[in-house]
This record gives sequence, C-alpha cells and structure tokens, in this order.
Amino acid sequence: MALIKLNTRSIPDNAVTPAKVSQNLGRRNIIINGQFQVAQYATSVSSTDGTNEDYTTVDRWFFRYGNNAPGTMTISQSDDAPVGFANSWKFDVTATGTSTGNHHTLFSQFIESEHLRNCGWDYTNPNSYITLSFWIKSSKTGTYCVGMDANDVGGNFKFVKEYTINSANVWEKKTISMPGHASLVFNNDNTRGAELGWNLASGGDRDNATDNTWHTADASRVTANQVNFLDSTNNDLYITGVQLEVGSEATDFERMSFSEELAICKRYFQKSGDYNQYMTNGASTTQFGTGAKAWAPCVEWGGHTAGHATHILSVEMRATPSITKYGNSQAYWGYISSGGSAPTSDNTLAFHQHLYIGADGAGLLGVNNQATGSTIWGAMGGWTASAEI
Amino acid sequence: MNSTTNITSAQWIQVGGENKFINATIDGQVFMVPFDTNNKHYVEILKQVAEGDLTIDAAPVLDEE
Repeated sequence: MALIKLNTRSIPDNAVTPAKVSQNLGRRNIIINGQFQVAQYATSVSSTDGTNEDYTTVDRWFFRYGNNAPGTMTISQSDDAPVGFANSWKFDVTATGTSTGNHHTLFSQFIESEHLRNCGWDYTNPNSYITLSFWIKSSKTGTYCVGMDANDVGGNFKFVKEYTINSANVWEKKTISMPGHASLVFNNDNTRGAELGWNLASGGDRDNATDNTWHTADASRVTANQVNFLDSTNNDLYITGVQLEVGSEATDFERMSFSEELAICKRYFQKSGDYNQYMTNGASTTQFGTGAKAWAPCVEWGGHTAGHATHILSVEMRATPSITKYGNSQAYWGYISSGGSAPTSDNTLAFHQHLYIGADGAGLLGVNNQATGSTIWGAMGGWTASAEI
Repeated sequence: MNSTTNITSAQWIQVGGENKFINATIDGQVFMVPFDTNNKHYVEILKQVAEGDLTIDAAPVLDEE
C-alpha cells in the first residue's frame, strides 16, 4: 500500500471540523477517582454486612452487602494495575456467601444529578449514548452485570448490561454503551442522579433484568447469568480506569493529576489529618489517635454560653457535611482551660465529652462548648466531614 | 447493610440555646448532622422520625467543669 505523508501545510484549513474529530478533548469523564488514586478513608478494610460498608476506602466509591447479603471481603486500594495506571480497587473474598432472595452485593459510584444533566448527553433520545469503559481483572471468570440506576425517575428505572471476564487473572478492558430513554430524568441539582453499579452477587429475587435494556419491572440489577463472585475464598477482583463519557465510543482514559483528583474528592469528604493519616481515636482516655490537629484559639469560649472557633473547609462541599469527631478512646476532644488567666505551659490538656463540632451552611466548622465553667483557651481533636451522596 | 439505614441514637445539640445539630449514631458511626435537606443523614433522620421509628432526645444537660 502506498504511504501518503501529510503535514500541516497539506491539510486545508477547512478539512478538519469538530464533527471529524472523534474525541472531545475537554473534561469528559463523569466518574470521579476512576483510577482509584485517592483514598482518604483508608487503604484497606475487612468488610462484611454491617461492618465497613458504604464509603470506607477509595474516595467516591461505595460498597454494600444489600439487604444483609452474606460473605466477607478485604477491600483495598491496590497497586496491581494495567500499564499506564498506578492503582486499582481490589476485592478479596475471605469468607464465602451465597446470596438468596433480595440480596445484592455490589460496588458503585453515585453521580450528582447536575453532572448528568449538564454533560451533553441527549438522554431522552434513544439514539444518543453514554459510554462506560473500565479495566477489570479477576480469578473468577464468567458473566457479570453492570448498570445504571436512574434515581431521579422515581421507582425502579435501571439499565443492566452483561459483560464477561474471559480469562482468569488477566487485565481486560470492557466497553459498554447505554442508550437514552424517553423517560429518563436528571434534575439540575446536587442530589443523587444515578448509581453506576458493578454487581458481585445477587439473590433470585434480584436477577430478573434483561440484558442491555432499561427496565422498570422490579429492583433487579442483574440478569440470571450473574456469577456469584463470593463462592470461593480464592476469588479476587480488581478494577481501574473507569470512565463514563458522552458518545457511543470509549476514548482513552482521561488522566488526572493526584492534586486535581483530590480536590474534586474533597467536595464529598474531607478530614483534619494529613492525606495519609487515617482517622482513629486514641488508645486511652488521655491519648489522641492519628489525625488530631491543633485547633484555633477559642474566642469567647467559656462561661455558660457556647463558644466557638472556626475552620474554613479547603473545598466547598456538595452539601453541609455531617461531622465525625476523633479524640481520645472515647472520642472526646481535648482542651486547655486556665480560668480567667492566660494559659501557661503548666496548663495540661484535658478531655471532655461536651466539645462538639459541626458545620454550618457557609462551610465553616463550628466548635461548640456545651460544658460550663472556666474559659477554654484552645481545643484539639480530629474530624471528618462527609457530604457524600 | 439493611435497606434501611440503622440509626441507634439521636440527640439535639444546642448552640446559644437553640437546636443547631443532631448528634446521631448512624450505622455505628457518630455524626454531628446539620439541618440541611441535601445532607443524606439529615434526610434519613427526618424520614425515620416521620415514620415513628426514631425519636430525637433532648439536648444534654450541661455539667460543671
């Protein structure tokens, strides 16, 4: 075949149009932390029904044993990844379980409604597509199901698509395109618009979906072909490079720097400790755990009125966050009190249950002294702020 | 987890004599929950209170240092 060489001078100015450019080169991945590089919660947890579900390791990624589904897994941020990636999310079965009835075990990401509403997808048009791509590896081969639960529609409105892990312990890239539907709704707000979920096991009451179809029949997230990933303690599964983008084809994964990804994740979760300090309470009533930070001097604190100090959150969060405090073994914060006198080095840190912290709508953390008595000059403790969806 | 969020305790916390937060134990973790209808914990508390499954206790009695 003859080789024709082109250079910029040989391409007419009007020959390259947006319609001929296959990739939207701008910000296109709707998924946050799709390469699993940010893990503010923890790097590894042991998870079973009621323990370490929800958001527990990598940021923005959710996990649950739905309706008290059985099994136990170690869930972790892993450095096993395909070429070009540094991290993945790993599921390692440590106790088997067989789902029955309405059990469903899955990991997912909840997407804000406005992110789907404004992404450019003509989602009420069945000829318009949004495409999911991801890298996955597992020792358990077979048919799995992934899908989207459109929360703003109300009731059950789910798209389910089968994919196959063909070879054990080999990274495979999967691409799935989902069509629009006339009934789809995504509100222009910051609430839950959709859950994009990967299923690991499901009971018989939740496997009634039809492959590659939006359905409203029931809460099924899988077809009857879904494997039970939790059927052996030899099973493990890794995923990374998750991208959801407008169009019918998957483009190359959109790379994000660590600092960019971390800043985006902080819209949903922040903490007082350094990035790799995972929040804990102390081992005794007189010790802090990790992540405790010196607090600002407390102004007008003491007497019989609630005093306060403030801290500006590093990123404005999705909603006013719920705050969890960390302190001594009882999660009490520490404080320095010296009556009406200025504190000296002789003043020791004490702990009290009635040092509370919360957040107001402006994104500031308020510290509230519910105890009465001496003026408190400063307080110390750790906190996490959650505005997850 | 169950399909219903497990809230085992909830108590008002006052600032300046007014209820400002709810100190709640949710799925085993203690949260200071703000009054924000976009906060998923607050929404769940409102739901369970409305359904009669949860009562929010009075604010703690302040004690002397």
